[in-house]
Amino acid sequence: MIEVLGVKKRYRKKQVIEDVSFTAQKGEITCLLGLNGTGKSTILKGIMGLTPFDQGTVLVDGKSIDLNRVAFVPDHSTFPIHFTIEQCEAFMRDFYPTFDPKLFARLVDEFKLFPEDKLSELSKGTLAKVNLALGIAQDPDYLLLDEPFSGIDVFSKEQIVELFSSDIMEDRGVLITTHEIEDIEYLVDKAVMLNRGRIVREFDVEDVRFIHGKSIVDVMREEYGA
Amino acid sequence: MNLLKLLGWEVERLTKPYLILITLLVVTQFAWLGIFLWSETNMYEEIRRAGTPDYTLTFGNYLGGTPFILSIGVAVASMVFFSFWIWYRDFQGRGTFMMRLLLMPQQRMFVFSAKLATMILMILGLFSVQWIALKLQYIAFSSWFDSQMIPMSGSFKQAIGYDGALAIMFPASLFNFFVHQALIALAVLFIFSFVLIERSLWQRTVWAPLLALLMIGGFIVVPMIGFFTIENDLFMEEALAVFTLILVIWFIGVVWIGHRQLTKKLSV
Repeated sequence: MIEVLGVKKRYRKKQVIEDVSFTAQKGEITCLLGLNGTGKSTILKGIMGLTPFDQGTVLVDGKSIDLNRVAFVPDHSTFPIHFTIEQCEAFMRDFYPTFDPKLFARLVDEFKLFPEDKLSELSKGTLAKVNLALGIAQDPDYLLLDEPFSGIDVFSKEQIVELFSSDIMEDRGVLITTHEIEDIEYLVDKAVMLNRGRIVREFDVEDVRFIHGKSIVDVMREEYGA
Repeated sequence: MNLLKLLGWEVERLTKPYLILITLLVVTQFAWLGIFLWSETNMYEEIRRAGTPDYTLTFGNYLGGTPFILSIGVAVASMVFFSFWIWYRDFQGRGTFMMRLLLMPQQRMFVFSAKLATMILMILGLFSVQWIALKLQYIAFSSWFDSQMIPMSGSFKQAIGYDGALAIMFPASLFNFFVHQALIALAVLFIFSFVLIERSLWQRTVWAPLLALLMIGGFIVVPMIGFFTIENDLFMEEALAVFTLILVIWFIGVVWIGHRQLTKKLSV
């Protein structure tokens, strides 16, 4: 379980994260929801130590984070754009001990990627698939995904959503931020709603669906008044 | 093992601009040597025809030429630039590669150490090339004037000794060589500290570069002021001991800053 406990973050004069605490279970998909600028990406980066929190603690299965067990997939490529997909893979193989080339090859095949393609030549959707394949092939227990559907076409979205319900994602904990909640609503187990850097609601999606007859979007409408 | 892999990776990434720099340096110097030999020979001929061949040349005359000094200046400036660029290129653009480096499941100080080792290797490589190039230039210089029967004075060593920058490249002893290398490594570490402080502050304040400069400047200047204040009251051995202590403090300080910024402060 990922435990985020009382984290805070300030950029210049703006408090972007204000005492946020929540958990994300292994084997479940937890979705961080919120309007633009509510601190969703900052929380993911903070968990990974890329943007250190000013206060608070992050624990993974009761210990401080082990980057062999948690992978982060940002909404952009983290490799130089002149790299080919196979060069990215070679880098990951060299520096990420848990990287599984067979799993990567399977994902490349499923996503219909061409290893010799340069990142600079790829569409946003294909780049998102490459990012996801590189992240999943680290074979992590927990996967943190920042806006994996941002600006990508409907078919790429479908391929990624299919992957979430496949055996590849089985037993992995997923913490995801997305604006395209409709696409994955039926897969999400838990939602954490943020507003102005604070958690305004945290709920079990199935409970809300079956007990109150509401979708995540309905709850978002109530909360954000949109 | 990972450190070596990272070092190989960093070296590979800098190879192309580095080879361009080395080529430029060597071509500039040999072109200047050609021009120097041609013009000095002509001048000697004119003086000889005038009947007063009271004319001797030293290798120092060649080393004191503007193109040669400029080539050394460009090489030094390039090394300073590379020390900044080796970090800043990884922060370029939205898809910053630094994020990938920081996500690696290994000690973040490996990234720091690999970049430092890359810079030191590049500087040593530059020294080696310059050393060989200078020796070849001296051989060409002396053989040409010998063949033209133009009198020369002064040795290679004397010529090098007159030039401060070259004296660092050709130290008088092995001890001096290590001292020079340590001072160069310290200069590189100061630049690294500046970059890491600046990159840790940039999301918090627009004054990040100025603040980083003030912090590093203060760290350099304050011990120096202290040293110069007490220097006159000390014996030479004591002054040397105090200065060595300051160097040790600087070394420990910059490594500590690098570690702290990379593990606790750096934001991408």
